[in-house]
Amino acid sequence: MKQWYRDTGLQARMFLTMFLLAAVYLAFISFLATTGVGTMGIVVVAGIFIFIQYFYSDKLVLWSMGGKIVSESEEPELHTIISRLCQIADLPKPRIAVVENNVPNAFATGRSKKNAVVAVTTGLMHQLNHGELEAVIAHELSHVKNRDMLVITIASFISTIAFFLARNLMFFGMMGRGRRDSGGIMAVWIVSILVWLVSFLLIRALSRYREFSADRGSAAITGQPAQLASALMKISGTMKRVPTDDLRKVEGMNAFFIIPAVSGSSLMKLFSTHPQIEQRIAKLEEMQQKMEF
Amino acid sequence: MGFLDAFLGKTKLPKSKTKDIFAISTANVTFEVNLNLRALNKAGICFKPQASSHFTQARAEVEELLAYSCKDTNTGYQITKDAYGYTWIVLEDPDFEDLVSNIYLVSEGLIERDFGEQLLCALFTFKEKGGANVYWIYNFKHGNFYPFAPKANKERNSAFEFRLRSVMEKELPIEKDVERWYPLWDVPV
Repeated sequence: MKQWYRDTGLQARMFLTMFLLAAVYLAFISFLATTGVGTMGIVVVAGIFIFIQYFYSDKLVLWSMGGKIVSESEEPELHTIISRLCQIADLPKPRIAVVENNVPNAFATGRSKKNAVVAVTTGLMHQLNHGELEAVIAHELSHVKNRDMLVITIASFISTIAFFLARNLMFFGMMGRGRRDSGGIMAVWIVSILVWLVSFLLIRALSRYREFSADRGSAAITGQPAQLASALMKISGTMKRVPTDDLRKVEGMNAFFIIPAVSGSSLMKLFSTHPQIEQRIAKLEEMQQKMEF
Repeated sequence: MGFLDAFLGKTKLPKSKTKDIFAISTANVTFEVNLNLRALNKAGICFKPQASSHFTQARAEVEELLAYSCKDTNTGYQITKDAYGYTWIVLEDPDFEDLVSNIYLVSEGLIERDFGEQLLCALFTFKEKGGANVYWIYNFKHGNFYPFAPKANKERNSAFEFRLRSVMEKELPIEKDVERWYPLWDVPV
């Protein structure tokens, strides 16, 4: 009963994805090592680029989203919600930011637990009730606890290098060496594109698995998977389907209601970083059931 | 283990520790003699309720235990909910040791029924002679205490808290990381 928030299948899939990613990367590195094409320059530039992005992730993300760090006196309630959840999950309290935006959203960033920032939009605070807001914040805290920023950065490190190579190799190659190595450059270029494509799909899958994990983490911290399910429904607009009008009032209209068609083919699923809301809600409901029985 | 859990995205909540909670009983003497702090006969334990039938049942069982125990020790108790949805059990007893043992009973009761993760803190109320209320808060996740001296307008008397720490450091397990000295405003205790 206590293990209701575990999902061994999910962990196995996550492990397999990471394993495949590592295999692709290793093959790529050994391929780069055996070809005589000078790729070191690009690798170093990409490395520095990723390092800066990782190191300043908190500032970069806050800046690009327009988030503002809020003090305890500005948002006392938000601070209390977060510090209590941190106490239960035994996490250092992150910095807290608010983004002036009506779209309900939340994110966590920062390279370590100590450097973490949890941000929410004003829209999120307005639309969700207390329990739902708590559940969404617990989801973000799980990202921090699971070190998702680090995991995804490491996972995409070589992918980014492959992307750099694919984009710049022709140019650099022509400049530096003339036409003698063009066959080798061509091969590296093609392999880089392939590696980038394959790792892109694997990273997307990994990222979706991390989302599911964070949902489970939220449920573990708050003890209320249903709150997160309800928050997800509200955020995605699905909640509009759950009517608030009295049955007697709408009875006559019922025949005219249209359930919005569920969109998204399986190809779209491959490309998205977040799993489908319906799938996440189904998983949360499963957890709630496991808790009850 | 911690790294592997993070690597595979498992969110493991830390277990609650209750062993050191009794340290406050002995420390109570020093509070009075060296710090002029008098116990206010009141203590509280706070936990996050879980929305599940198992939890409701566990809670009922613990409440029953508490009712028996309180009858035995002549302790008054009452259960309230705060603005953040957390449940508080507030105890009242002139005998400080009875307060501590009943707090222990509730926490152990929840831990035994697999809900130890839900515990937030326990709180013991004191009063400085001619001064304001001061709290010692027990953090279940770390198994240690920290002082909390609130002033008006949600400010805290940090200097006094640091003094409490330096006097009590030898007797009481105190949270070393000051960043985890989370305040608890407007407590029902």
